[in-house]
Amino acid sequence: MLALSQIAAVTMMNLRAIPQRAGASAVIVIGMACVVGVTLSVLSLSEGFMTAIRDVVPKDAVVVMSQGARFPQARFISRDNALTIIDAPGISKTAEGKPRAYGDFYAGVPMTKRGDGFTTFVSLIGQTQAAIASNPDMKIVEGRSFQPGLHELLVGRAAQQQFVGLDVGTTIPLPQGDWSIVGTYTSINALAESALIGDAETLMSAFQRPVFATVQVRVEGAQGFDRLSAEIAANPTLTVNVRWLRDIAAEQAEQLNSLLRFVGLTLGIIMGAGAVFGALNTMYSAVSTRQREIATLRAIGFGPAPVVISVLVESLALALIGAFVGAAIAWLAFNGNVHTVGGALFELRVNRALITLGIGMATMVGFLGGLLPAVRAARAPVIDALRTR
Amino acid sequence: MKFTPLIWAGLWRKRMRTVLTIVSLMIAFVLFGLLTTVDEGFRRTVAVARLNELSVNARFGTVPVPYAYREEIARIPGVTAVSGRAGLFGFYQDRKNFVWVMAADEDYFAVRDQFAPSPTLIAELHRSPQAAFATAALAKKHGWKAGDRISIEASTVRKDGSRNWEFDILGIIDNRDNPGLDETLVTNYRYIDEERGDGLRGSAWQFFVRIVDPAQSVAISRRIVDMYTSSSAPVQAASDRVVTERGLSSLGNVTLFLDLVIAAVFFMLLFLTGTAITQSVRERVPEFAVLQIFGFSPGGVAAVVIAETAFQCLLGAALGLAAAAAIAPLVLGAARLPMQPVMPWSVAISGMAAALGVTLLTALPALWRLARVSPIMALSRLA
Repeated sequence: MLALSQIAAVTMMNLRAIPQRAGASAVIVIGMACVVGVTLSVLSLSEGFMTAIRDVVPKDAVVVMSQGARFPQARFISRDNALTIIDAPGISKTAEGKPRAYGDFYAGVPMTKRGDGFTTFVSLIGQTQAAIASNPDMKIVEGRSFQPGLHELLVGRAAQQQFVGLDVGTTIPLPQGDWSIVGTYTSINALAESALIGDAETLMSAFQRPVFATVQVRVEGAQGFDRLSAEIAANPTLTVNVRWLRDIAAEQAEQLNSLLRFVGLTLGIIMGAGAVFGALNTMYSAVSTRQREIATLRAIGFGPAPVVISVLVESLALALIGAFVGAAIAWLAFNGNVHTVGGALFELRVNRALITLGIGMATMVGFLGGLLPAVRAARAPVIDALRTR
Repeated sequence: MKFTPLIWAGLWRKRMRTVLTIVSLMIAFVLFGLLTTVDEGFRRTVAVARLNELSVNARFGTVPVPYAYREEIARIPGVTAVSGRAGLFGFYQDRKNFVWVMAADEDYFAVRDQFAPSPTLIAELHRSPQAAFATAALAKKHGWKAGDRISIEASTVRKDGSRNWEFDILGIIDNRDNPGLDETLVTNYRYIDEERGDGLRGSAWQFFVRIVDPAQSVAISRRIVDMYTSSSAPVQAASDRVVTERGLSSLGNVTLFLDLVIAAVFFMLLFLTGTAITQSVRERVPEFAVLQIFGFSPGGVAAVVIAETAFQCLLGAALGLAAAAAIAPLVLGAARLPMQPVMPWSVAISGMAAALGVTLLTALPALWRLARVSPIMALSRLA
């Protein structure tokens, strides 16, 4: 009980004296804020991307595409093959009992990005009316849907915000003349919002490419997926792969994501090491200015433990304040920011997991930076310390 | 020179503080070295990308372009050579081993002179149907050498219905602009075009165009686009430089981000070093007063403070930059960035210049403090 009250007394005294050492104490706070701010900013990109994939890609969405079709140019499924796939078992049904599997068309349209003015390909997806009608994730928020046979397109809101010249009412040049944009859609799946959508058959004839790119399927859970895969694997006329949409999205994200994680953690570790040395410096000088005070406490009967703990608490408190400042800066600057990678659009996230990481880093830095000075303070011979000025 | 012992003694007065300051400077400069290397790498990637080389692609990505465009583009004034190419996406042995096969025509090496096989080898490539050059990086990855016969399973089907394409490795080449990083198998356009069974015979995916005057790159690109705007296979054209910039911009604004991180690192560094140095000077104000009473001019005292600061900053920077140079191959290699994983000398030089800047900025507050205290007042505090 006595030990506890001693610890409390010394620690409080110590913390109250921080304003007198404001400059040196700020080294820990500012250092830690920089470390946490930079690390969380980098990781918020990766976190936002993974959140987009984990939360918004429909759980039952499956893609059937030709084997080795790593690039959009190499994706094609003939009409016959598409019909065989649509009839396969395991596919969930609409209210009318029709399979929720639809062939789609794919092309890229060069568009000018707002901001830097570079040209980037925007996905142009051809879908059947039935596919759009059976997709609960998609909602038309402006204008109307396209009519089959006419040169009309829907645009995703994300694509509209990102690129020049995609407002409702404008036209864009495609093969066989200009196509007008007649409506804007939003989607729960943010990754699907960066596209133009038109009627599959109309687009296929305009592009003189009478094959589907992929078949998009909604399956009846994991069992449905297995039954569909087994059926397709057993059919020698089909050279296609069946894959979960979420796996494809995660694979596409993987390269960028691992790079971001690597960069974020490398920065965090190296800057964190710098912050530890900064904290050591601060705490050594804090301890040395308080040498007489500590010696006096020891002389009147305070034990070494309260001294050690008070120094550690001070360095931890300063590091944690820094971490909160850094996390706040990262949150204010980046959380909810919209970022695009390879045409896909997503929001940056500074979430609880990242803030926990920042607090963990601060605890490490505060502990490592405070430990040695604390031990030195407690072990300094009382008589010598009292003589110093 | 005669002040050296004085500066030395001042530095080691509080050994722990000096060592800690130097170590934290060192760590900051490790980061500076690595980040600036990445920054320079991206800039260099753009700088080596050529303005006098255009690429012409199908406007909508998926529609192949007639190979016959080659002749028409070649007739444009200012164009010296045009090469059309097709290609295969495939894999070697395992699905994970992706291989990009570039099918090049006779003019390919005339346009893309960053690959420079000997003229005899080029002639040989176009004489023998299955011949191919592997880049050094690709050959190393799969253990290929000249004379090997390899089989690539490609997404493009052959006339006989199979997807296996065989190639004889004729030689190993490398991209001079990007040594050791380019992974391509270069083969003969005629072979792929003859053998393909997907109904796309006589088409090209892309044309490479070499022009005389880099300043004409935009005008000639526009002219090529206009030629085919109303055809059934419209194209888009841009110089290599623009294509590379566009590729980097799709990663988001990488260089701006790197600059922001470097700024944060320096802010932290300035504050840390500045505080340590100001504190060290403050503790010794009476000593500096003694020096002045013994006849040191205020300028002389300032010089001592600056020299102490410079020693710590320059030593920390030199150690940090050396460490960055040592670990750059490791770290950048692990991050698999598309650049040479070596820290250039320019980074070391700008790093040392930054260290001088840090010296001046951090010594200033200490000098300011010193200038405000008269020697007499300082000495009275000594008593």
